[in-house]
Amino acid sequence: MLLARIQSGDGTAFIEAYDLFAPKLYRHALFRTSSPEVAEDIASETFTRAWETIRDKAKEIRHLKAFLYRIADNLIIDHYRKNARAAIPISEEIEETLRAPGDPHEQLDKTLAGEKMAGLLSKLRPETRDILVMRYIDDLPIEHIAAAVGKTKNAMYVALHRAVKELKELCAGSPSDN
Amino acid sequence: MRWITVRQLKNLRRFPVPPEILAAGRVKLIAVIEAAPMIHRQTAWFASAAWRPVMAAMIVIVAVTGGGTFVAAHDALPGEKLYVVKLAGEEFHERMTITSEQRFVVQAAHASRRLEETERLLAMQGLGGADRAARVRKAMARFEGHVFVMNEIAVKFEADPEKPKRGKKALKAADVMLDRHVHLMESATRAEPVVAAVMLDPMDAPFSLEADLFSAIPTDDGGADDEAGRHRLERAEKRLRMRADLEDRKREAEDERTEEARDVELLREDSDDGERGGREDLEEETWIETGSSFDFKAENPLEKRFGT
Repeated sequence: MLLARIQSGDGTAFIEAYDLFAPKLYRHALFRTSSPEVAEDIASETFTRAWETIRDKAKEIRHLKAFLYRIADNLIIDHYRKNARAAIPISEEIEETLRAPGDPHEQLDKTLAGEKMAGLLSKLRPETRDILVMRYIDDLPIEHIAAAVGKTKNAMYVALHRAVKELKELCAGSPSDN
Repeated sequence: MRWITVRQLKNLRRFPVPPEILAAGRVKLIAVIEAAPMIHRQTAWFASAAWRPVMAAMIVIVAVTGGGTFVAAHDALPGEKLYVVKLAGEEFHERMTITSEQRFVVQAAHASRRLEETERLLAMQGLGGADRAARVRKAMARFEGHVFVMNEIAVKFEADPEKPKRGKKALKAADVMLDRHVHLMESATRAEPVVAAVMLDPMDAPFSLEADLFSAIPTDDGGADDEAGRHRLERAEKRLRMRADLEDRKREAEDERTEEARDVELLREDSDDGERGGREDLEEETWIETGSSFDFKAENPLEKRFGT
């Protein structure tokens, strides 16, 4: 068990956890803040804070993924408070992607689609965007999201349905790429 | 515009993350971990979950008896009511230890107690063979547990190049225990083979004290270690001889039992034959009495009596 190894003070296990969760946390932060720089900082800071907490209260951590997402969420909330939804376009991502290994065209397609989606998500209210990102991008269970935002499971289903509807309406009003 | 669907939203899970961002984060994290590695804090012994049942038992015993039970239980033997209290006290003591040295000393003390208990059980009058064997088995199973922990600690000590003498001392202490154990076995083999057999294999598991201790013997050191190695080898051979002797005695006892059972069967058969022979003799006698012109119907005494 990765968590048990981390709790016993195994730094290598924590690096393994980074390799496993850092890309997910980066996307989580990217689609919620619309800023690659902020997402990079949040992903990195999440692990630094996680390590500091583990050093002091290793045994109190029951679920590593939930623990990391909670830290990331707190950092995102801090970011919202400081910047009051200052959405930054992620077009720099395209240049970064072209420099990345692998098929550049496939990577670019994904990046363009991602940028478009991120652009749309950034236009949503933060609460709506957070729900969509947590459910469909982070693939978190409904119970987890409901607990994170302080709602019941049924209320969460309703909120999610409204969020998808809101995004569709937003898409209908945006220019098509086809 | 209808291209947006939940599935497309889900596709963002594969949104490429620039590898240099991940690599930079990784380097930074390694630096953080190296700058502030985790400090292993000794959890307060009373806060550990494993402690709770022992603590609860201790509190109840002290509350009910004022602690006198622990004093009374000091001399308890396996099979006696207070023996549980004695073991609870020992477990408490074992958990109080913090360093490996302390753990080793406490385990050695408790292993020694198990041997003393076995000694007393072997000398105790009025115990049946099966009862004595069952009680010795309890003490010996625990003895092996203590020696096993001692061995584990000794192996760790051996592997520590900074304190080479510590490992040798620990192994020597474990050796003393095993020597006493073999000595006890020898006297038990002479007195009660059933009990000796229990002492030889108390745990019914593929666990060999000798083999475990041999694994910890340094092979490239000279002098005293070679001597210790020879001593262990002799002890192992002694155990093997005792095992073979016990096996022989067991086989002999089985043969004796089989022979005895065969004798009993033969006797029973003889007895049956005797009874049958008696009846035949009686009939022969009747034949003789009635002569060759025997008329069964006329001479049948039952028919004579009831007039049938």
